[in-house]
Amino acid sequence: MTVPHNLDDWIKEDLFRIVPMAIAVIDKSFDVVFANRAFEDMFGAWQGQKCYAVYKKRDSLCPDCRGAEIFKDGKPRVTEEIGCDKAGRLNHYIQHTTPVRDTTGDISFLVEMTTDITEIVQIRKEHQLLFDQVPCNILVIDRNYRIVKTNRQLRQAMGDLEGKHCYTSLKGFDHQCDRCTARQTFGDGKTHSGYHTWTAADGNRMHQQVITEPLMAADGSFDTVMEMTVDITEIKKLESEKLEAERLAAVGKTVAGLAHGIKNLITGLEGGMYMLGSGISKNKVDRVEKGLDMLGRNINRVSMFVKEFLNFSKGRTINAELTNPAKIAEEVVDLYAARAKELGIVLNHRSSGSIEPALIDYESMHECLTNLVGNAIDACRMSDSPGQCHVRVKTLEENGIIIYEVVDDGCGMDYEVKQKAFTTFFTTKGLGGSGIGLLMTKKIVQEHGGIIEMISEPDLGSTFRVLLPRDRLPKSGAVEAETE
Amino acid sequence: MPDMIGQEGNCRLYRKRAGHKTDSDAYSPAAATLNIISEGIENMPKKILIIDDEPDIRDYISAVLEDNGFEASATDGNEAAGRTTGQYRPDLIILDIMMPKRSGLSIYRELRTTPELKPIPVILISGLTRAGDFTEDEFAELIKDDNIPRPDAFIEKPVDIKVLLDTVHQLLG
Repeated sequence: MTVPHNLDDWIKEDLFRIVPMAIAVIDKSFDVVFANRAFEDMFGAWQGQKCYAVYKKRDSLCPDCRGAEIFKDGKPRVTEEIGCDKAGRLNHYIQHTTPVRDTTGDISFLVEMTTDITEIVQIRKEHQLLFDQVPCNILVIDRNYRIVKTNRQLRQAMGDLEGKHCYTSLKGFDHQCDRCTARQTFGDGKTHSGYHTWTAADGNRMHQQVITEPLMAADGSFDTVMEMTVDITEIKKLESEKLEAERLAAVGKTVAGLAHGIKNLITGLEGGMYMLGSGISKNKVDRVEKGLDMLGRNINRVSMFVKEFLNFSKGRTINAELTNPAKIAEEVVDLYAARAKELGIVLNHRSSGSIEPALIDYESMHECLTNLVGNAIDACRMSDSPGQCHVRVKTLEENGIIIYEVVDDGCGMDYEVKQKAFTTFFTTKGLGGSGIGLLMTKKIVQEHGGIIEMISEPDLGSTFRVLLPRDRLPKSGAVEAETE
Repeated sequence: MPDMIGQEGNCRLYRKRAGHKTDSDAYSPAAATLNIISEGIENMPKKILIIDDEPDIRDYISAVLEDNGFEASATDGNEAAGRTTGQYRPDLIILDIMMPKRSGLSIYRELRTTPELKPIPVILISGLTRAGDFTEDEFAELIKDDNIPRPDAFIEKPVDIKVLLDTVHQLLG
C-alpha cells in the first residue's frame, strides 16, 4: 500500500476505515460523531446515536461510564466491557479509550478502540468450568512456590490457599519439600510425577498422586507450573487393610507352624522321662543314661525355642533407611562362602543392573536372606552329591519391585515336604534347629510390605523369591513393627 | 483242646476234659508238638519297624514297644523302604510323614506299591497334619494317587503312648 500525498485525508479516508479494530469518536454529549467499518460491522448503525445506545442499547448514560471519567480526568483507560452486537447478542470486548484535546487543552473528543473478545471469554469460561469441575485438585504455583490459583475441589478440601507458599499451606513445612515435584518441573520444563502427603486443617492426612506441568508461553518460557493431584487416601487405606489382613493370615500360619516345633519337643521330653523311669524300674543302666541325655537335650531345645520365639514375637523396631539392596545379598553370600566351599557347593551372587537405594531395614533383611541362603545350602548338603550343587543368589528390580532370588538345585527334600514346609513355614531341622527360621523370614518380608514365593518341581531344586514393591516399603526412620 | 494245667518252659501239661471226643488226640505227642509250635509262633514277639528322622522319637517308641512285648527296629528312612524292610520283614510299620530328604509319604507310596510289602499295616504319625486331613479326598490329594489306600491308622504328635499301643494291638490282633 502506498501512502498518499495528503496523509490526513488518507488516514481518515482509508487507514481509519481499514484497520481491523472497531474505532469510534465520541463527543462531550456522548454522540458517536465518527466510526469505521469495523465498528459498524460489530455494533451496527451509529449515525446520529449516543454511544450508550449503540454499545449497550441503553437510553441513558451508563452508571459506571468510563468515558465520563475520562472527560473529567483526561486519563486514558483500557477496560473490559459487556455490550450488544448489531444482532442484539451480548458480546464481550476490550476497549482502549484515549482523550483528544483541542488547542485550548480541553478534552473535546474520546477515541474508543474496541476488540471483540467474546470467543476468548467463552473459552475462558469453559476452561474455568473444567478447572473447577474435574475430579482432581489443581493448583498453579509460581517460581517462588506461591499458589496463584486453585480449583474448586482443592478449595473445598484445603480452603483458600492463594497467595500462600505451597509447602506451608499443604504440608505445614517452613521450607521446600525434599522431593518437590514442582521444583523438578521448574528445573527442566518437563512433566514430573510423585507421591506426597498433605495435612488438612483438621489434621487428616491426605495422600496425593501428583503430576506437575509447566504452563508455557508461545516462546517456550514459563513462570508457573500447574500441579494436578489425585487423592489416593482411600487407596492407601485399602492397601493398609490388605497388609493387615496379610499379617493376620501370617499369624494364623505362624501359630500352626510353631505348634509343630513344640510337639517334637514335648515328645522328646516325654520320651526322656519314660526312658529314665523304665530304665530305673527295669534296672537298665543304658536306658537310664539315654533318658537323661534325652531330657537334657530337649530341655536345651526348649530353651532355644523359647528364646527364638520370644525374639520372633516381641515388638521390633523396623529401622528403614536408604540401603543398597544388592549390598545386603553380597554380604550374606560372603558370610556363607567358606561353608559352601567346604561342602563343595558353588555359591554366587549376581546383581542385574544398578538398583537405586531403597528404604529397607538392613539388619532384618540380612537375617531374612541368611535364612534363605542357609536353607538352600542345607538342601544341597542333603543331596546325594553336594559337590555338584549350586546356590545362585540374584538381586534385581522389575517394574518398581525389588526382587531377591535364591535358587538351589539340591534335591534335599521331597517335593511334598517342600510344599508343606513352605505353606506352613516350619522346617525339618531335626536336632539342628528350632524350625523357626522360615517363620522369621516370612515375618520380615511381610513387615517390608513384600511377599515371598517358592517355585519348586519334583526331583529338582527350589527357587525362593522375595518381592518388595517400592511403594509398599516402610517409611524412613524407626517404626514400631506389629507384634504377633 | 483239653485244659492246660501246667507249663514249664515249652512243656505243657493238659487234663482230659469230660466229653472230649477222642482222648488219644488230646494226648498225642504229635498233636502236643503241633500245639507247641503253633502257640510258639503265635507267641513270638511281633516285629515293628519305626521310621522317623528324630532319634529321640525312635528310641522312645522302640523302648515302649519292647517293654510291651514287641520287637522293635528303627531307621531314619534314608534307605529305601524296600531295602530296609527286605532285611527286616516287620509285622507293622510306624512311619513319620515329615522328614528331611525323603518324605514319609514317598516311603508310604513305595510300601503300598511293592507287592510283598503291601499287606504290612502302616501307622502314620505326624505333628503337622490333623486327622481331618486324612479324609479320602484329602489323603488322595496329599499322596497324589487315588490307587494308594489310606493308612491303617493315623496318630498325631505328640504321640500318646497309650493310644499308640492300643492301635498296635488292634492292628496286630
